[in-house]
Amino acid sequence: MSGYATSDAGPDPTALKLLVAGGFGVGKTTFVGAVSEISPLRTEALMTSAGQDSDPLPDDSTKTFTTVALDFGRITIPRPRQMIVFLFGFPGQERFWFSWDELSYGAVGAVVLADTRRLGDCFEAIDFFERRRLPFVVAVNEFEPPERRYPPEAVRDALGLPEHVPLISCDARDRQSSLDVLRTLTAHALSRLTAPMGVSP
Amino acid sequence: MGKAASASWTGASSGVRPYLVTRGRTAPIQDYGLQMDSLLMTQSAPGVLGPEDEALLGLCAGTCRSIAELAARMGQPIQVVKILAASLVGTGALKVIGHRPEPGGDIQTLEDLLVGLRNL
Repeated sequence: MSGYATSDAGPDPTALKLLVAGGFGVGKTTFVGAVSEISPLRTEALMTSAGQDSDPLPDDSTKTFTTVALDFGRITIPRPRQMIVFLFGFPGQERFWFSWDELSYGAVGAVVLADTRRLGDCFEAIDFFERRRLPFVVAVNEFEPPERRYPPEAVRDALGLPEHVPLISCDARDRQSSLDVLRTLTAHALSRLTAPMGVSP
Repeated sequence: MGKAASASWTGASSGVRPYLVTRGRTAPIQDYGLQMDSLLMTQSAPGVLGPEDEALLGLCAGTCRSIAELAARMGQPIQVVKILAASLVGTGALKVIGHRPEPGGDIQTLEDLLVGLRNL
């Protein structure tokens, strides 16, 4: 068999990874679909759950495997240099923490999608990213009509979100609105690198 | 999940068990550091291939795709695709391309990303 196109010797693209976390039904798939150049794909990943303390195993095995459903999307950035950004939307429940470790390795940062009707659903994700010191932003996916929305300060209070973590609202169905969330996340990750040590956690 | 893409090649083999697809392997012989976000591109076409190998090389011909995307398009678990891809990387049929920044990122990369996202 022949006829496969082979790669030319162009510069290697940089591969970057962004995470989208949040509770069930908060709009992760919609968000990924809004910004991705390919329609969002769902796949299964086999994850190790070694040494997991939140989910003790009945037997004495120290390592087990579980499959996790992931929403996956991609954005190609042509300029100023070629970058391929991967978006992984993944389950926000505590029992999947083990997979967050694997997924968050090397990630630029994370979007925690929140629904003001079920704010409690994103506590775990916030806690996880804070502890791992991975840059993250909280994006409130606005399901409610404007008159029923909560002011940002109220949401920040309810989440116990530190001042340095950006909190924005978005419409996960809208591409530019969702891209804005990614821009805010990137700017936030950048500010943490450029901030003097010790000022911003 | 990738119905249109997978139907074109899995038609005859959609009921095939993962362990058959990987010919009994549960892990790559050498993993080449492949992760679910590793990018792959087809380099050459070796002679005799299984249908899944063919599908992988076809999907990666002329464009780079990640392991996660390939898994979704082929309707296979990520681990299965990792095993298949590692073999093909080993024979030189597939090449791992792209480079990953250090965990935590570097300033230049994030600045370029921010500019790139603003242009979209």
